[in-house]
Amino acid sequence: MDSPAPPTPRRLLLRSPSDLADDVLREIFLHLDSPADLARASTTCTHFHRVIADHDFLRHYHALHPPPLLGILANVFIPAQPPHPSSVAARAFKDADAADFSFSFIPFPHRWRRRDSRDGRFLLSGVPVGRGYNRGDLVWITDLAVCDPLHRRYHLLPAIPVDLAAAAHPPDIVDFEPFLAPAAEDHMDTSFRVICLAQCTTKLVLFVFSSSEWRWHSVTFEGWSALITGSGGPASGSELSQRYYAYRCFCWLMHGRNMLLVLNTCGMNFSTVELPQDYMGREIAIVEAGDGKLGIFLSAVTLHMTPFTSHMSYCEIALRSQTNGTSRSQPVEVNNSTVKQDHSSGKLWLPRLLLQLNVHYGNGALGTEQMWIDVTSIREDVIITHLAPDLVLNAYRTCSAACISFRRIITDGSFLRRFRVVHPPPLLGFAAYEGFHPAQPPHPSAPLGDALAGAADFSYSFVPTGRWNTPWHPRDVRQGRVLLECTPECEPAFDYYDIVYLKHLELAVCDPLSRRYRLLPRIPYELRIQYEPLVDFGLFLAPTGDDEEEKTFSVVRMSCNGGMLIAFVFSSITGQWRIPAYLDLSSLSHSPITAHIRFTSSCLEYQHCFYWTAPWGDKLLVLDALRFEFSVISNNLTAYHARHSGQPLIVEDGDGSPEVYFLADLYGDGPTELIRIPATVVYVLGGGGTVIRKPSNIERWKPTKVKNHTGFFKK
Amino acid sequence: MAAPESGDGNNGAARMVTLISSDNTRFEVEAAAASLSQTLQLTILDGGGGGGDGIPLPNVDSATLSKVLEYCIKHAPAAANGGAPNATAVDRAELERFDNEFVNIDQSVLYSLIMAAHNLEIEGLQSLVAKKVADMIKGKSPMEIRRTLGFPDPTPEEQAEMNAHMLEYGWAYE
Repeated sequence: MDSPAPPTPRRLLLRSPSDLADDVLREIFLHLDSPADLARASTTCTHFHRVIADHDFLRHYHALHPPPLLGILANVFIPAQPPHPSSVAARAFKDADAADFSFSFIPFPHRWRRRDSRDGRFLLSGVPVGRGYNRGDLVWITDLAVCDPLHRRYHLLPAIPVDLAAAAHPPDIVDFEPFLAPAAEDHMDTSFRVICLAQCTTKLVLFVFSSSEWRWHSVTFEGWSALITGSGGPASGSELSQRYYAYRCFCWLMHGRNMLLVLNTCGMNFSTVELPQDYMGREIAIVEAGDGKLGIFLSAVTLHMTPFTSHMSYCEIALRSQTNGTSRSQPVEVNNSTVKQDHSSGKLWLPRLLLQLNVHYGNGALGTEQMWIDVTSIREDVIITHLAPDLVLNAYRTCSAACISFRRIITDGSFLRRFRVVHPPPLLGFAAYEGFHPAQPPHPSAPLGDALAGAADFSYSFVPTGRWNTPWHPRDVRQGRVLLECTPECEPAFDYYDIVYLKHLELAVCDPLSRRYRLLPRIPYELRIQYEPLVDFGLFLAPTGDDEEEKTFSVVRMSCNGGMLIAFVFSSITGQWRIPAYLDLSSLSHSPITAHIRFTSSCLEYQHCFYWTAPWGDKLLVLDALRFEFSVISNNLTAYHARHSGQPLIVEDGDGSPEVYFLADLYGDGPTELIRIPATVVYVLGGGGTVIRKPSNIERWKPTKVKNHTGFFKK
Repeated sequence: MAAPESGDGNNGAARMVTLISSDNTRFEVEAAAASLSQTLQLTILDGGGGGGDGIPLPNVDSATLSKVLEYCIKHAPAAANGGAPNATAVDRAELERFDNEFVNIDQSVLYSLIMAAHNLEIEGLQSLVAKKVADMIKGKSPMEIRRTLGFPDPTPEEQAEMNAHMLEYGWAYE
């Protein structure tokens, strides 16, 4: 036959894939809107693969089809969970270890901390090699790096030049916030911009680094002092909330002023918009509402308020377009259709949209990703019973896995501390003397414990060396803080707790996750001299009872001399040591007490009260850490060997009142009996009083299993 | 669509140009329609294609060219309005309906159209046919894509290489 067979009508009938020019193929592939289709097409033939794997093509493709959410980078990468459409790809991404989120490709990776992420790039801040974090490092950051964990590439940014930096004097700076901004519109593909927002007492200064010019320039917002004068705002500290992003603009809520500060990254100019209704204490999410309007979701429920009125309201504000490049404040219009003027109560947030949420859940808006708004919904009964940390964990994971931009919100220190107050955190592991031991499977926290072990620094290398040039060791943990002590050199076999004198005390409180610390001053000579010689028998972090407990802490040092128990307390608010309570031991015991007699060095806490077994065995000492009052439970257990008796264990009985369980040593060879003492019979000793009463009933059980419960670390 | 040679292209309100297909068929169309092709635009601006000269298109046969010009004539008025910012919703809906119908064609014709749109650089048509091919690929396995596009079966070497890539994209096959 001369003529070729007629073409099969249902086929394109190419003689070979290379019949189609690359340009034509690119045009076709750009119309594949699912990454899975693109991946399959790329494995059709080598020619297709070459076209698709090309960087320019992929960049073009991603510009047209925003990449799907793969997961959230908290301490580790948490892939999106089913039924999210990306869950399969996200799991593969994680399993393939496609990206290096520990940034090990940067020199001295442990010196760097994640600060922000955008468009696949991460902004890291670090301290120069060879020294730890100093006070003030978080106020003025000089070392910044931008890196790509997928391709394992990084750029170290030059420091902000001195002449520019002069615009913001470090003592004047209230807050310093570095973040990644979207690239200028004409350099979308290859460039990035980094912004450092320095909040000063009288002005806002922006330092902007552009990778295409490879230099810094600064923009000063002089209208700032006029904005923050007058009542309503905080007297000190940052005026701005966390950062929100929409339409190439960054937004901050201004604390107590009902205003939104808007930074347009196109002209790098600031403007403000008055919000229709007080948002105080609310969860807010800002979305792109179309037509250049910002949509603001306002959750009418918060995690800590009752009763719950579960709904979310929504309003839109229009940003007036700004054409000039000045940084003057410009008015922004609030969409009047969503705001109602009410004569009795002023402006009301008239909802355009009302989402009804399940009333049996604690709901909170966390943030947004593209068209989605993420809401945490956590069952109330889970919170109350404390029985299902895995449920809380799942909720935490679900909401945090929902979008990358929430990573910042969820890993924010104050959010986490607030979250923890409402949801007692699961046990993640043990911060022991030699390091951190994450929870092991099948404990539900095991994955998170591993993650914490990877993300936090339990060698405390970021804390500068103390007076004794010895390593820091943990003495207590509370709300994510670790109390560290460094002690003079001593024989390794020797239990150093026994011989540390108060004058040798060297303490620090740190956050191993965010690598911040505070060195504590020594106990003043005049405070301790009248009680010397004093030895230590207890050192712990105590609650402050402050509403702002996420920001404050107190450290209690229990000390003892021949006849007295003295509580030295350091408060982070006053920055000073004081003695709020002491106890005359001679009134409690018939046997003489020496300075070196040993108390059980660890204690247990329940509802702000700390419990110790007394050295002579028949007393349980209780310190109320809020009121600083000592009390004593006399449990008439003189038959037991104090030295081998275990620590008290506090549990909640059926009707919610606390009970003390005490492991008692009857035969001198270890604890064998479990004693239950209802703690309600505790009597308070006011000012060195001696009224002690026996508990009404003491019960005994044979212990089935003895476990050490001290030293737990909760995050 | 094959048109007899007319006289002077400047007679009417609209200027006409003549295009000559690879099999020597002459097509006379409004210059505005032919100018949708970036390739032809410059020639036409220089005054080419008028009178008896005609612009030869050796890569495009008459069946394909007639189809291409059908597209151009339909889209020329909207393109003249600068991307049709003033077009009514009805106009847009009509163009969309036309486009959908336009690519509902035999796949051998589609392939010729792809090549013609590419050679003539007609942006809208390139996008339209590319989308049609993309729709044919969507949801198919690599082997089904090969069959759809009429590729020969891969050589063992190529298959081995593709298998390696498939491992990399395993998630796309679940």
